[in-house]
Amino acid sequence: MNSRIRVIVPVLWVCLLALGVSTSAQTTPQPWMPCSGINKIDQKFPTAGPEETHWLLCWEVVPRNGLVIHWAFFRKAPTAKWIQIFWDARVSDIFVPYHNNSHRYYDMSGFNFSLVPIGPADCPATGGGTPLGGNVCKEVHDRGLAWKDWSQVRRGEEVVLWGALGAGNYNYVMEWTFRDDGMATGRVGATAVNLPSEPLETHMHNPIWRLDIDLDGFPGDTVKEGTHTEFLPTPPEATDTEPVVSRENGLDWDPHAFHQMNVYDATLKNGKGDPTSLQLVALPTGGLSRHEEDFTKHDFWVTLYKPTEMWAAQLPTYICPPEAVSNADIVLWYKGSVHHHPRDEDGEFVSGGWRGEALIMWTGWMLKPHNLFDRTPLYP
Amino acid sequence: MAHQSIAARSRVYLVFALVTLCPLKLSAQMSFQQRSLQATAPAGQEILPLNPLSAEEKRSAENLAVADSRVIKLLGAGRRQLVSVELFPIKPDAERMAAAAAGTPIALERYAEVIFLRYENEAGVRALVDLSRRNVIEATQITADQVPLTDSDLAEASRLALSNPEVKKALGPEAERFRPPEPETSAESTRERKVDQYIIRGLPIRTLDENDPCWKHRCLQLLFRRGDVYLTRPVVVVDLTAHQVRLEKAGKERDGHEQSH
Repeated sequence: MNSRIRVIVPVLWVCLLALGVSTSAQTTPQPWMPCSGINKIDQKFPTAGPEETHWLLCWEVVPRNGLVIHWAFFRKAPTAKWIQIFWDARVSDIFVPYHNNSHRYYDMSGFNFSLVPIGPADCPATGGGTPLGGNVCKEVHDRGLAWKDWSQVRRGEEVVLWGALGAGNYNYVMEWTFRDDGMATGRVGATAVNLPSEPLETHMHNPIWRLDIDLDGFPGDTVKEGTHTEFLPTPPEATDTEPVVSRENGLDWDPHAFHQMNVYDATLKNGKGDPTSLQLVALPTGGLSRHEEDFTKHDFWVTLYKPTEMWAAQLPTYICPPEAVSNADIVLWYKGSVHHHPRDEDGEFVSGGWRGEALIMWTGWMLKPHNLFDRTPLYP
Repeated sequence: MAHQSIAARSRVYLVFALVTLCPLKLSAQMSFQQRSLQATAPAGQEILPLNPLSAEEKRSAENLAVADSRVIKLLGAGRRQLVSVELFPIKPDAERMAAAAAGTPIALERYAEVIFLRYENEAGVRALVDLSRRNVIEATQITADQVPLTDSDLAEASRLALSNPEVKKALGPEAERFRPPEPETSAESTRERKVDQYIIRGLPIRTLDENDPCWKHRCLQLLFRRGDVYLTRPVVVVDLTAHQVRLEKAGKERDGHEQSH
């Protein structure tokens, strides 16, 4: 009899699972995904053990734009609703003016550059890497501490997609990271060889991201400009405000004001009834540049979604005349800067040439959930 | 004993019923998924709306574009270059997006953006092709600076440069060995070639100086790489608009300082 039970119970369990009447019935169905094969990323966290959080997204390699993200969804718990985060996220351009104004390079829009091939040396399995399609690397790995409280601790995990655009003498590593706590980050790293004709000339690499954020779908999104103010010296108080960006505009990042672009959906709230937002936070490396060109005069831009408005250099025309972007389908743009002051570590002159590699220099941003979870994620 | 026997028999019936139902349920799920795929997948090949364009789809988009009367008019009868054919995703309406988010397959149109360069008066032509309905839904002229340079342009610029006596003299006896790179198919092949390669890479250049010959012209700066060394000289700029090759001064030479090699 006992042996029969031992046989029957597993069979019953399997069949109940298949019929969808077991505990899995409470997991929310996945969004329909318009991509497949290597172009679909389906990553649950933690990678070992029962699911806590989950990302689903599509990616594509596009000449000029390199590695592009489409259709990204996040689920904060197996029983929670899938929340759309991105319709499309890409680096729109990388603008590189040299200090001596010799030339002004548009390293993405100017040429149909493509991603360079990668292999196991770029994307080793020992680092959680899987080469995808010959020029994209997917890495799933530990990301360090998620939190620590004396003897209690939790390490986090993330899935990272990256590819390197071969732009003449430079390689630009485009990296997209999706973390187990719902955070997404984007970085561009400049590396390879200094401009051979002027290897010692200081210059700026300005990647401009176009982030089509659709929080829980695209209708009804609103951007608020998170602003911090200290009333010093008296009274010694501080305040934080969030004025609505009501019309298309370019906005500036002030490090003292902790400016950030907060995207709200008209109806999305967490289980506590608090409005959910995604906060686009600049992660500058030293500073953010300004140049002669009008599109470099601001760090953030907010525009109304139009499928043909894809190019950073055209931004001033996209906001003219400025249309209403409150409770709308919005697109956020952010310009980062890498100030490349050549150093001996970049390379050396050798018999009529320049030999050496500029070690990778990064800049980027993070998109941080605010009141998406009801409580601390990744916490017992 | 009899009671135990009945209970045991009931369990067997239950297992039998479940084992019979399981495949039916799974089969139903699979056929639904297959149906949703077939809605967008021609010729038995799985093509979902946001998967990259296949080579066949790119050819089809180009053919549809060049057969369209509006595109023909914009391109004119002169020389042209196909610059790119890429997937052009357009959002569905909010209702369909919400359905997709809830797990329901939706109809999502598949468009291709086709960009041409028209050499006469240098302008671009952009065609938006609906691959499902096999027609061009939009054809517009764009400015030349919105048209990226291509590997074909690099090949042409290299040819012009290598036939220029000044460039040949500056490059020395190895001049003929330089050429644009072959398509790099794998990291391994790139590494294998690196040691003895003589390649030409290009950087498109723009200027704010109206007196610069490259002002509003399609210009490429050529970079000459021998193995793992880039040549600092010559600095070659090819003006593809004017079909001219120009040697520029390198780096600090411009400021009156010789570079210390």
